[in-house]
Amino acid sequence: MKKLVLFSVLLSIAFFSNVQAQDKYITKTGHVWFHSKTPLKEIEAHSRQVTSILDTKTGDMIVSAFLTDFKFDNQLVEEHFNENFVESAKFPKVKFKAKVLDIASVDFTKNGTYKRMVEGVMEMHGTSVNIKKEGTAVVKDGKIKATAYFTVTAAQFAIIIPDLVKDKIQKDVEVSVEFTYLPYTK
Amino acid sequence: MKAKVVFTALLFLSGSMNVMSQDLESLLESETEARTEVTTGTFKATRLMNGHSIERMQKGQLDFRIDHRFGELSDTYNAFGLDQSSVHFSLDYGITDWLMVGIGRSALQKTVDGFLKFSPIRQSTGKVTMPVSVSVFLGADMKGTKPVTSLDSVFTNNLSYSSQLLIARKFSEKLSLQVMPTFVHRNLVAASDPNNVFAAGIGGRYKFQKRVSLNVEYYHVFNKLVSAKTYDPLAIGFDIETGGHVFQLFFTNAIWNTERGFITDTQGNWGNGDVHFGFKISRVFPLIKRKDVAAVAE
Repeated sequence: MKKLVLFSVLLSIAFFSNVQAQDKYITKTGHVWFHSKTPLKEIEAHSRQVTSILDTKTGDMIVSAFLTDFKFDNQLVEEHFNENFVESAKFPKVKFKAKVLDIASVDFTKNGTYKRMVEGVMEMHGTSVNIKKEGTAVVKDGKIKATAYFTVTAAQFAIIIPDLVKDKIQKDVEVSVEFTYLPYTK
Repeated sequence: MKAKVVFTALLFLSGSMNVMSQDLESLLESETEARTEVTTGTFKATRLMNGHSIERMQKGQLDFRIDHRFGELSDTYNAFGLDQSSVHFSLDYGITDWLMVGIGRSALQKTVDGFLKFSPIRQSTGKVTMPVSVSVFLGADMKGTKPVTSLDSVFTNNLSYSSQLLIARKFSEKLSLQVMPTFVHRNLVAASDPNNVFAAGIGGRYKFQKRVSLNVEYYHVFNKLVSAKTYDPLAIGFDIETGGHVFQLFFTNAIWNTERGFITDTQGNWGNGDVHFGFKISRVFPLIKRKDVAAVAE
């Protein structure tokens, strides 16, 4: 009898922990774009199919995007981006595995705006880079609108830019992230 | 006894905690639908060398092209043919992602040509697998030279029609191959010549460097002309991509770069050294801004 009570208590603890972990948020239509401008050329590409999952209890965040989802105005520029720069046939995805620092102080049950540092590893073109940038989260009516604006360089990800086009691509490429996370229920 | 209880309790707790962070990535992946990855860059341009490739301009993309052909390489007096040049201009536009239209004009016989290229099938992997890309080419051309005989004055006598089935496969980042069954109909021909000419083409590219490929294109004409000696057109060349532009440099025995021309009017022979140097350059202008269009999930 005692053993049964004990077992039930332990089971409830395990179950309870899992129930706590249901505070996950997800998006499959995340908007990420990057922009480069030089006196010679302006390049911009958008993806509105970026996926991301956020665990508001642990602060763990995963972002995953397919490079072929980034659309450029010019078909030829898009083909060259995939074929010669990021080599998307070899390395199809961009992945970011990170943690939102000090997420415990964010109250996801109340509307509000929070700025927190997000730290993690971004993997693209077969190269992993440590990234630590500030992100903003606007909690409104059960949704989280997360944004981040930062720069990266091609060199960080071992992307080679030939001399002929060096003056056409900005060294610090501006990256913009805008996600609307919805509660993940399953 | 108490230690056992505490230990088991901790084991349960830690087990469920670990499951949480490891699962996050696989959870995201399980939520993402299977997708179809369409193969791109089978060839670097919409033309292989003389003829078309399966590539097409996507919706809203305008391609301005210039094909420049020179005289015979063996003609040293004329700077290996460079002194004599023949130009063909064309403007191609993607009406939709699978329908392209083009118009062009050649200096040869002042010919104006136009075409439609349908691309109903694209090679893909993933959710939907398709081993090849298929395009259908439908072209027509009209001789523009001043009428010489009374027959020339009849408008339709100056018209020719060409149709092709283009089937290609990108085997790897380096190798792509294409076959091109071709049919040409010329309205007015010499009495002994066939109005309908059948040909089959085979071509490919081998990308031996990230931005440079070696291209070969050969058409075998089955029922050649009787009134003049014509040969099968063969072209060998390079596609060079220089971050924005694609330059196509090639050597061929054909002087025409339109279908009726190189299939029925190639009077030069590689064996005799009747080889011409030519190049194509193109510039793409996006007429419809794509980046603002919401992406459609596959």
